[in-house]
Amino acid sequence: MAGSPRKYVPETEGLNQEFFLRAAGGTLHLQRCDECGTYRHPPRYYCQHCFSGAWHWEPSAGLGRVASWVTTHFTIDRGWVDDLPYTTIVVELEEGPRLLGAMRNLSVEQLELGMKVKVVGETKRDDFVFFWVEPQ
Amino acid sequence: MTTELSGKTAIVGIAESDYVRGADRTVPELVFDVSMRAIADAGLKPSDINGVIPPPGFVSTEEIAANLGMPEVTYSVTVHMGGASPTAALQSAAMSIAAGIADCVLVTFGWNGYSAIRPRPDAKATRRKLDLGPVLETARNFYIPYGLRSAAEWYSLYLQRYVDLYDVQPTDAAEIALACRAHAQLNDKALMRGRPMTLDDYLESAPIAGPLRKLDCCLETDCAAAVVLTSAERARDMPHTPVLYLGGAEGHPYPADEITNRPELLRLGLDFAAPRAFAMAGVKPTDMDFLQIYDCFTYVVMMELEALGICERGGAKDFVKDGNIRLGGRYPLNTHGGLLSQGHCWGFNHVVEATRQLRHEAGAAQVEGCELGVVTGYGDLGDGSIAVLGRDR
Ligand SMILES: [Zn+2]
Repeated sequence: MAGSPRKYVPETEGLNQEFFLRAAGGTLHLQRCDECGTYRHPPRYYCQHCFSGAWHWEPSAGLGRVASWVTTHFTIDRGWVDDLPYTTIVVELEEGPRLLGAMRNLSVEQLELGMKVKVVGETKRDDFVFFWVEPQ
Repeated sequence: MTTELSGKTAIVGIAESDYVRGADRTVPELVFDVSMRAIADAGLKPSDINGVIPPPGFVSTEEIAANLGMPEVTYSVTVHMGGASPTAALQSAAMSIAAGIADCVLVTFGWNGYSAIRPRPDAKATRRKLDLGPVLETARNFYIPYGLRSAAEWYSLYLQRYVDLYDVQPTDAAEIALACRAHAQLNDKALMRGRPMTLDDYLESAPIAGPLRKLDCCLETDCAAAVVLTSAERARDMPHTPVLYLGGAEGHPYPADEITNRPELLRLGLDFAAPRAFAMAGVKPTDMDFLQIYDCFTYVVMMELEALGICERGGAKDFVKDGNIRLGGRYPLNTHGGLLSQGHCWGFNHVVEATRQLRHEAGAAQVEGCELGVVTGYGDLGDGSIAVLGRDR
């Protein structure tokens, strides 16, 4: 909307920036431990299960299920005032980690814990990707 | 191991500012004032203080020592646990005294929670800011871009699960808001004194996020508070009945810097901390004569009551009923009005009130004959802290 305050886009750095740079290439990538194969998010330097520092980025289709959601009715974020009420969904990806995104092409009435959804990225800047959560 | 700390130190001085929306003094001025008064309350001079624990942000040990006159500070540390900081800081103060590193420790907090968090037409902004540090790194990348900018929205990521799992109704959470508001009517320093609340007021208040209504949320406030601790031995020669630090602990959910990927979404800092604190104190949660529970949001209080072990998981909705948490009930809760109805001083007002209660100087809100009480803190993305305090006999 013209004249509305812009939505916040963070300055990214470190592993988080690597995560977003990968996603900005068009495919969501998750960190995966080289030693025990465990996926993790948000990005971390060591594996929480086997403590290995060896890992790589692995592409993800972004498929998962609804783990929880929150609907916001009042916000102190002026960039989001025009979107009220808005719903944010926590998706449990098939790989295990949970990722948060904004609800799209769905209504709160349709939401159910465990329902199948997919995460779709929208590149806001080369080092930041915003995630939408849609029906599969 | 840690039981060596139990009963070795005491709170000997307390002070709090007025609780206002739009302070006419800066945060450092507020902090210097309450610090000076807490030191005087203990019968001490600023030069007797050699340990200082300032809040995370807003004002530094160096400024406090220079303005009040503390020529030799031997111990200073800052606790970075958001609203859990003041109560966690008591542990650090007690340790430094018991270890002989400091003799008298000032713990203080002040902020411009009304004037600086978001723009206000009736308040002037200041440069003095909260130092959120690394907590914000996760929020900046993964929450705030989605319009999840406030604690109400972050905590709703687990509060929504809590109410769904245990079928917690708004009328259950209302018991906490109503108890705090009723108790605030007895407190000259409460922002909501003279503004009683009914269940209808509560139910009609506007939705905010997740299960939270406006009247589930604490008050944005400008305020400050301070306490002074010293050894129990020295405390017995001071003006007030010593309030002994019997047990305390801090706890962090895992991972503490990110909510949604926790293996146990409802296991928060206080779940880790409370058993340690009661073990240190050698008492049970059910021995408490009152509860000063960090009440940023009503539903958070319910989860804390369960974390304390004073009721089982999911049991808080029954625990808070039938006047149980009102003055005159078995477990009076937030006898000063709490963050919900006195004002938001990061729970430092809970420490001050607990001390007043155990001195038997709580006026109209006095829990008659109280000997033992608990204070909790809660902050950042679910960090927790606890202090079990007792009246010296
Ligand atoms: Zn591993």
